[in-house]
Amino acid sequence: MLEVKEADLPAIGKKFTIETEAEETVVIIMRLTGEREVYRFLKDKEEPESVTNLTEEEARTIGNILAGAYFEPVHEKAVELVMKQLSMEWIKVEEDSPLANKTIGEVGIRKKTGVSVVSILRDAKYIPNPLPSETMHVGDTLVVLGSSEQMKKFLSFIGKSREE
Amino acid sequence: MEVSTTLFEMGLTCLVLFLSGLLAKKVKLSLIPLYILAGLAISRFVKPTIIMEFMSTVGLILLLFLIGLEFTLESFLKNRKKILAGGLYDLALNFPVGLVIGLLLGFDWLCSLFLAGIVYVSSSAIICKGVVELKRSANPETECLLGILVFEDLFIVLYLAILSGAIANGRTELLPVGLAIFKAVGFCAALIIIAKVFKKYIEMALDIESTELFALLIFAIVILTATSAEAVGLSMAIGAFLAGLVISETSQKSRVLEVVAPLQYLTVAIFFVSFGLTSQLTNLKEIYPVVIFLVVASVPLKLLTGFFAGKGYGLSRRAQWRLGLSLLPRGEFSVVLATVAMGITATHPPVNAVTTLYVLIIAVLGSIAMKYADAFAKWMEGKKTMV
Repeated sequence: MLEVKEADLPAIGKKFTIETEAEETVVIIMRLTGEREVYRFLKDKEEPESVTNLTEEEARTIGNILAGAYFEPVHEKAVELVMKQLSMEWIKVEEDSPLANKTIGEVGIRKKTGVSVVSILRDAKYIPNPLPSETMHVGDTLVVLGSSEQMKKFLSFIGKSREE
Repeated sequence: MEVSTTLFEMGLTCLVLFLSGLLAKKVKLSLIPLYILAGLAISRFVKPTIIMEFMSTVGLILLLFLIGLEFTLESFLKNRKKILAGGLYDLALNFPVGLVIGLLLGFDWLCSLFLAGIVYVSSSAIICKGVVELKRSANPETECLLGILVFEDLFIVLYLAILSGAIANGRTELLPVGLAIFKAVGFCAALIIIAKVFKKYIEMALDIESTELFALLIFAIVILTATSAEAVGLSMAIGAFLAGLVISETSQKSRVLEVVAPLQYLTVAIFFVSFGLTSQLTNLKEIYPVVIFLVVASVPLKLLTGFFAGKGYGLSRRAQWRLGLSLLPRGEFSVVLATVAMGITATHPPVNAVTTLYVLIIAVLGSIAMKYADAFAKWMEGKKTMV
């Protein structure tokens, strides 16, 4: 597990320090005002190589991008994101899929397999937290979240084995 | 007629403050020295009125309230080892100098003790602003630097409580000092215990939807705590600080900051202005050698603090330099101490005038030192390797 060092900076905020694999140090300051500062230090250097100031909104957006939430797959290969036991998959709804043109509730995805559809990418649109009444059209890409166990169930349900 | 003249002066003062604030932005200086300077500048035309004094007292209360609000006891206790290590070096090195100089100048004990505090305490406001603006938040020395500031703030609040308790008892004789300490510690402990025990109820009481009513309740709490501190013979500043400490434990902190802000901007600025206004720098010739001496004596001691505290923190030599150079600015707390000292007697030695000039010089000098700390540290390092 990656080590995140945490320290209080009274009157300024909190400081998080992460050593990257490339032996750089990334320091993130969460200011009490909500702003974030991202510092990048090269190995054994005391002066930062770069400093980036972010508003709360910018920080969230960048955080989402880094976490993979905005990633739009250009080809069909499922992208896998594993955080501990959590896995996230991007699944394209194909014509022969048992999901095609049905609502999420109708299929009962969560009831049957345990995974949740956290968002749907349709054309250039992005539907976060779709309701059970949302219909999954052919060509949609579903972002599905669940444990590895649940994901296996889900993949076999839609007739796909995990491709590496 | 009276009211409209005072109002006119108030408006004029605000305008001068605005202009000096603009200037501060332009030359990238802290607002504090500029406000004091503005007070000095208008002292020829504007006479301090009771209204100005009232506003300035509200400013003092709100200033201390905000310091208390930003102060989290929890973080202090969690990091107490680190904070104590740096803070005690800082105290041991920088506290005696003001005391000794005060006594040498023939001040009485009480005034010398005030001067000790005035010279000792660095300005958290100027330094924190500098750290953020100079993008040093992630620097290795910053944790140590902020730890020292937290220690200083807490020390000065307790110190002020004890000193103000002693004043209310007349002069500093042995028994009243013991009593003052007892009173000060008792009052602080009582409020902190109340905060802990009734946390849930305080939280409930503050859970008000209407912003207007919320603001009124906050002002009531702050001002009543401040005046009750005065009623038991302590400085109002202590009460205000403790009110901030109590409220900082609740979840309403950011909302409090929001409602207090407009009045705070106005009254805190007037607090600094009226300090400049009443400091009577008429005998400049007499006091400037004293102030120069104070500056010359106090600067190397803060630099030494940087070396000692930095070494304990495992900082590099360069970071130690930056730490010492960042500790130089004095500001709000020195002015608060001088203001409280001024309340003692009318015939006290010119603590006020000395503080005005000292803070003006060292706040500006310190800001510059902070800005060029990196370059200076590099230069010193380069020189050493040359030798």
